[in-house]
Amino acid sequence: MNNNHNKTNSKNSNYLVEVDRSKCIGAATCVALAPKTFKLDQDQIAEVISQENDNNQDKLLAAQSCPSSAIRLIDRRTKKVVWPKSS
Amino acid sequence: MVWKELDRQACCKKVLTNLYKKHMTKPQEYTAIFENKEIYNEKFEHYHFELKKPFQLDFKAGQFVSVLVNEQGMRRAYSICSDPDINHGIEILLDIAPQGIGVKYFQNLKFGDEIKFLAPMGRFVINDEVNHKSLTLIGTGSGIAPLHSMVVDQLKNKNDKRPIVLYWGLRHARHLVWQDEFTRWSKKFTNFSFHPTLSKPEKGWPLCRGRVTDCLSVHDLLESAGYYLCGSRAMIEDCKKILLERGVSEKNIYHEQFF
Repeated sequence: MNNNHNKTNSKNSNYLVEVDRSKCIGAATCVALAPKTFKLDQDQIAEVISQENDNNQDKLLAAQSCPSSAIRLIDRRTKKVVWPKSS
Repeated sequence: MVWKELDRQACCKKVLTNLYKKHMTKPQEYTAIFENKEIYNEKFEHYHFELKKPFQLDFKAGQFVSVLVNEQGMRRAYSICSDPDINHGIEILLDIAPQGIGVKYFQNLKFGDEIKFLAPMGRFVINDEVNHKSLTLIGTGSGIAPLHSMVVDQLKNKNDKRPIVLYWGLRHARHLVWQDEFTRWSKKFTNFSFHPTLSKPEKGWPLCRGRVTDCLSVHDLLESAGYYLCGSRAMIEDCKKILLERGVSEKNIYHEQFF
């Protein structure tokens, strides 16, 4: 796992959210789309504040809308990467 | 495309947080109809879309849309270049040189096709809460798009009488767009000036040469200006370095980063 990824643990959510700080440009689209999952830290970089409080659809939309592709989603049960799609 | 404020000081963070909250409404999904396209040159194309549902979009100059570009859910972000006073449609300036998935999506559109996008997005907007005495807008490449929207909004819609200067960095004169429009505005609005800056100018180019940072290094800076930068990470870092060296406070520098 890349050390730049900000990761928290959860028991209840399907999708585990990770933010690659080295890619984040602070556009804050993730915060707008999934405000209970993301916030901007003091350096204006996205960080995960909860894995539980937004639904999977909002998390997916936030990941898909990230202009710098800094967000990765992993299905907790299957361990497969949900986003980005492998080409 | 795309932008963050350069801000490392605690006092600035409060301003930034307020700005962020003020402009961050939850984006909606829009459907729009592809209406028109202007092919300006080998680098830039200008796309016009009429909103279908919802039929109205209230956005701030400088914000962007996230366009769904394939059925797998891939999205690409594009700054809105049009006048925010026109809320029944959006216009996008596309740099076609990369020929990535987004460019190919747009170039394959046929008139009347529908697109879907999330909007409004982003917080790279003119900060009206700080009373800057002037505005300096600096863009490179397609970073001109949000600045175009900002200029028309400040001059035409807000009747802003403060000095406003726009720097646009490109390689070649043949890639310039909106030059007539910017020139016309600089005649109509005497507080507005435009500096196209070419890094690989053709012979006889009479205006600024080099990178925009070269201009920023030698030009007189406007008094108590707010600086709005749009371009690559390197461009933003270089501009910021020059501005800080020349005594500009970090809290007065805002940016949107393309990548």
